[in-house]
Amino acid sequence: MKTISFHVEAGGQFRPVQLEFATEAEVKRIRAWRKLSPMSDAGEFAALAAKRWFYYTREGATVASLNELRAAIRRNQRAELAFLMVASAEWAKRYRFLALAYCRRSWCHHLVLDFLAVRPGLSFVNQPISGIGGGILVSLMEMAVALDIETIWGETTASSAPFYEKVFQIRPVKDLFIIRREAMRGIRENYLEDQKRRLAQITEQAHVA
Amino acid sequence: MDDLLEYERTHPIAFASPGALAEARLIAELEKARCPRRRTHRNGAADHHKAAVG
Repeated sequence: MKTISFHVEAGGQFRPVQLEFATEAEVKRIRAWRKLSPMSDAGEFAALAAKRWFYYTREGATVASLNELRAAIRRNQRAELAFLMVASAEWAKRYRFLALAYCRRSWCHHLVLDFLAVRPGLSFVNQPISGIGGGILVSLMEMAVALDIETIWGETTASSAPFYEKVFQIRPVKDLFIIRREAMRGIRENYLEDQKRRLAQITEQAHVA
Repeated sequence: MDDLLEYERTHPIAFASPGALAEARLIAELEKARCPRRRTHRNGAADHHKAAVG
């Protein structure tokens, strides 16, 4: 697994987005979101996630690829490792990155989601791009399954809980979500089924028009 | 999924775990405290100092 792909809706079509591990140069670009959008939570979270990444990098506790992650785990089964995932798309080149997810592999081989942010004001042909947040979460589940990770969890807030409820189809999500491997598979299957249905709808609408 | 897409169209997606956010803010504060000269320069104080000396 080199690059993880998912699809979003942009300009009335389904378009592919790539999710990759960020290297130092990419984390520096993410840090600059704060200047682009100083008053937004996404801008603040991007800057803080980058700071945290650099802090842990100095401690030797970050990885910048799936191979590095696997190698670090082989060296130390109980390693606590952080990584920043960034989403980008060829068709949306004017935005270097569309979104970020700061994650940790915990000492007991769980995946922890610490920050999730979509760059504010994204648009394509003057229409909003939607499905990035959900796509990232489903992609993280795919990665977790590939790494044989049993559990993904994250702390939530009053504003994030409704979003996680919609992605995971679990109600209610309180101040913590915990998704086990079986549930990850189910969520991913439902998500892909829904995407197929959406795609069929879009194709039908295009034919009618 | 329609529900999710509609949510993403109408709400900013920017979430942080409270624990991670607190830790990241602490790291940011520690770094500010560690690099006071950089801060001084950033807020323009260094230029005042130069002007006063000149």
